[in-house]
Amino acid sequence: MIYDLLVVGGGPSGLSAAAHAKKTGMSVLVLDQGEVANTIFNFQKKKHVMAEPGMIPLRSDLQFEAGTREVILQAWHDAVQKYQVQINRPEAVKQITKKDGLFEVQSDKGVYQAKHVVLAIGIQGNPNRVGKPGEDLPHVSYKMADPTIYQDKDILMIGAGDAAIEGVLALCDKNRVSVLNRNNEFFRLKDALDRQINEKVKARKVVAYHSAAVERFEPGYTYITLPDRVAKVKTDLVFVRIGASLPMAFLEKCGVTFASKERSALPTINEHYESQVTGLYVIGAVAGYNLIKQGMNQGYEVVEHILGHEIKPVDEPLLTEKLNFLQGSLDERLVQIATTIQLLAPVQKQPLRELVLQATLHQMRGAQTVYQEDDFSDSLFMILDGKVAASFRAQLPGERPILLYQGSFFGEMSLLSGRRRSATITTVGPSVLIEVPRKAMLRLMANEPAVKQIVDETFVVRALQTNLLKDLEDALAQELAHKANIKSFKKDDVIVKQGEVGDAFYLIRSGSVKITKREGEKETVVKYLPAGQYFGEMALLDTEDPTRKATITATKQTEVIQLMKEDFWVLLHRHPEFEQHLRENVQRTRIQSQAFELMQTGAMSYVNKMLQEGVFDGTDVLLIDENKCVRCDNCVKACETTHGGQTRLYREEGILFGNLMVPTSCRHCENPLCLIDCPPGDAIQRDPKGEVFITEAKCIGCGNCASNCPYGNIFMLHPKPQETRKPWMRILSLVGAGPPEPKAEDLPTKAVKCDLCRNDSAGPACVRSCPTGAAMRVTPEEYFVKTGAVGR
Amino acid sequence: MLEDTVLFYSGKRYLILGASAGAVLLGSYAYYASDTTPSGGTVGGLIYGAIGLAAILILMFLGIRKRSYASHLGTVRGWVSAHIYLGLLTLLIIPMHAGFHFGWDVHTLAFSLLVIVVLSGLGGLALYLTVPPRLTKYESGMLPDKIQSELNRIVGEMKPLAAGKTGLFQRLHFEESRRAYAPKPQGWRLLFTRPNTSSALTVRTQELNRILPQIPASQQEDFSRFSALLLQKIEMESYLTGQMRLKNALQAWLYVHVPVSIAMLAAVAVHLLVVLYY
Repeated sequence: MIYDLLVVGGGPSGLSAAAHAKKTGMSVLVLDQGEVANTIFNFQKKKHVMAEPGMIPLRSDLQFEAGTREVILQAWHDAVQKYQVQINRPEAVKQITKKDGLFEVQSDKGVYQAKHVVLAIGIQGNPNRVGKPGEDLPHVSYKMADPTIYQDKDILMIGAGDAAIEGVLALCDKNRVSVLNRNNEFFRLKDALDRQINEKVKARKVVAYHSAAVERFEPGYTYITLPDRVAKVKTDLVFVRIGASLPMAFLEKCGVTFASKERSALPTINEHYESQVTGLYVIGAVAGYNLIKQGMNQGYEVVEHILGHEIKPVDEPLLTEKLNFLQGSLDERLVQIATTIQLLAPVQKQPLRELVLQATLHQMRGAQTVYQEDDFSDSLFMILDGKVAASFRAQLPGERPILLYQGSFFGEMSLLSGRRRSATITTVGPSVLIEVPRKAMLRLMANEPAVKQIVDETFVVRALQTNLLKDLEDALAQELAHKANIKSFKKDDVIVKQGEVGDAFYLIRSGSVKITKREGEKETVVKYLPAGQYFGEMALLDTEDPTRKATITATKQTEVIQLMKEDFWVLLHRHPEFEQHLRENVQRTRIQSQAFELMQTGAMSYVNKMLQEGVFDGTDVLLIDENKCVRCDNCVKACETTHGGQTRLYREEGILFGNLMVPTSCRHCENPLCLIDCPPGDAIQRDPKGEVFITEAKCIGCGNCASNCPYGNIFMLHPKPQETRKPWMRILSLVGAGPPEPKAEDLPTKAVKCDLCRNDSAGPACVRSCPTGAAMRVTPEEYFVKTGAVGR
Repeated sequence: MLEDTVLFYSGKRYLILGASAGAVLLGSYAYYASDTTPSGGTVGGLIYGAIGLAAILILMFLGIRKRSYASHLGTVRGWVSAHIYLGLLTLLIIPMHAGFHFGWDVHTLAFSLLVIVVLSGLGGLALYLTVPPRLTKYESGMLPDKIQSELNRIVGEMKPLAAGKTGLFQRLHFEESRRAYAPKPQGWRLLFTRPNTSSALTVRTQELNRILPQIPASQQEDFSRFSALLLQKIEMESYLTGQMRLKNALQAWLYVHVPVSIAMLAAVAVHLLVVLYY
């Protein structure tokens, strides 16, 4: 028989196409080489699957909502039953050829004929292989559905990406696991995984072979090439997780062409996902769309296209609605945006659509505040129409605010540095602003180097003007920005070393550094500098002794703007008053640092320890002066009472610095790592005042934020169950009859942390309930600046 | 050193307020005593009585305010600061109310109870000012939540060292574990135990040194590791006792202050009943 549609691949995209085709009366066959929805099937049990992007509606006859792996698989299974979709599996397709307008699909079991073919094969069916002798042995496997079934085995994981390490962590409690890593350290892992795996390796729960490669597999053993030797490692089981790639050879054999010869190149398809071969469609991950919902929508759209229905992309109405104040077709509206805002000029059509989809448009009537100085927001704003004024608190009376006009953008300081807003922005007259969220902007910058360059240079120009020299003229600032380097350092990386000859000046763009001085054997921390401060001028100004007088080390992930000596002098020659200012500062710093060297013990040594423990990452830290604390635990009781009986503060479990206790309670970090990996995206977030808080209703209990918190200040707890029983039922249950008491354990755990009592205007209950004033909520920097220990 | 304590809360606000209230009271009393014979029954006396009663009720309200965690009525710290000065003032107001007449009756009983309450409060204040720094010193040795797990670790490590060893060695371990499970002094009893870390350590070190020669040479290495652990354990236990002792001290005075103040309130009620009803 001749099928109307043959779908290769029984994943969400393929099933969506098949179901819709079947529903509209086509004859359909699905071929799959493994399980239905194999990729999701291979997820770990009960894994929570997200339905991103949230704002795009689902167009499919299959259901799909965020939920556990089991629920989703069941829904698809039911749909396949309902529409009676015929799936032949396991059956691997070998070749697709087109003859006289008909496709001939050849599999390992037979030959089929079809009018249209949809390739929805994903990429997981084509895992990267090791390519070493013995890789076909039965104990070498490319998938692992359920890590809990293995115990007391010697297991080798090949690969050190996120998927591999997730597997290792799931296996290592019950088995002896080693991991083979091509690089010399764990690299590009999600932060939480990086920390967990390093802990396991340190605790010798996992053996890591870095800079390693497989030589060959033998039953029971694997030979591993290490930099200095070949190791024979006992292995009952080997799992290979080194990514997957497009099955290019197969696709080319089918007539699909590629944009380039690069490994990362994607198939060439038109807006209907049709390849160069008419009637052959490529959708889903294999076409470069990694999100499940995108693939499912494409399956539906392809069938609509085959039926001859004109169908607009799913985001079309959304985008048109969003840009309702502009004229013309959607494309014309997008062009209008790209031509008005120079920053978006280099952006292609598709990424621009995605950007606008994620952006918020603000139509401001008159003088309205966009954001306040010191707010903790980090999105980027573009001025589509109108103008805005930037003002600073430190502004002199009578000084004019800086004006920004149509086409320019602002907010890049906080976007890039993660610090508070450096100015208050107010619209001047009616304006239209496009607000792009940080994630979307960073993604665009990663894909469009031209955009990144504009943002970076603008950032440097404005950083120089705000942090160094208010009067710096735009032309010179741009010249310097063009020459400046942006360098990033990891925690504990040395930026400048004492004794070396200085050749550059630095402005801290994000993160923070500490200044240490070494005398003989002793190394003393002299100072701690946050983002916005500069260093390195001392050696450049001192022509007689151009050596560095101190060592500068990053105390967290830090980015600096580096101006080379010559460029720095260009600046000084043009602005002698700035040179004068710097020289005076140097003089003062010298005197100060001598004073610090005298007081090497006391406050300074605690500052150093607190730096190491990350206390300085906090913006609002609970400190308890133990010399005043009468240990009444009123703070804990206050927290408990004001938060539904669950305290978010553990007074006795903390770190003690002299008489200052930093108890286990959220510090509201400058760069909150807990925000990084929240699957719903906004269950944990930070408000403009800097408070990091969790919305319980949105929390799915995945635990990512808790494991991302380096300080253990987020807790996974069962929420207090709601009492649903009537009073008489409760009395009955006391004597053993009636419904049982609702148990907290029956409810899924949720992430819980200090929210600074944000709903209470009077501030944190813990501080207000302290009878002696021992408990205080402070910014550590401010606290120590007050006591004279840090800052310039 | 008193600069930043509850006594001087908010720029000595309540100290100044309390002192000026005291001065006003004294002045008014001098005026009142100059033209009447002071006693509880006169108009002046009744006014002082009313002020005194109000003061006592405000003082007692601290107990409620302290537990109203969501309350916006000032901070607990401010309340405590005011509580101290207002409490002291009652020692002036009540005798003024009585015209400094005392006797063997329920009225003077109420006042004596008040005196006990105020004095215990002063004692508590002294403890609040002096004990926390001493506790901090102990805690810098080790925080209480870490001591327990550390102790468990030590006990766990001692066991295999003693297993299968000579009788003397095993007996020592047995005694030590019995001691570990024996009830420790708790609650008020702690107030009367004086931990002396250094002398306890010296005694035990000497004891262990005495035993060492009696241990077979092959077991001596394990024995000295065992001894080191044992001494570590003793040191930590004495930290723990020390911390608990000081913590108890911080609470012990409340066991006088609170019940007696309730008794005082009852006596005041009887006093009111007796005076106003009969």
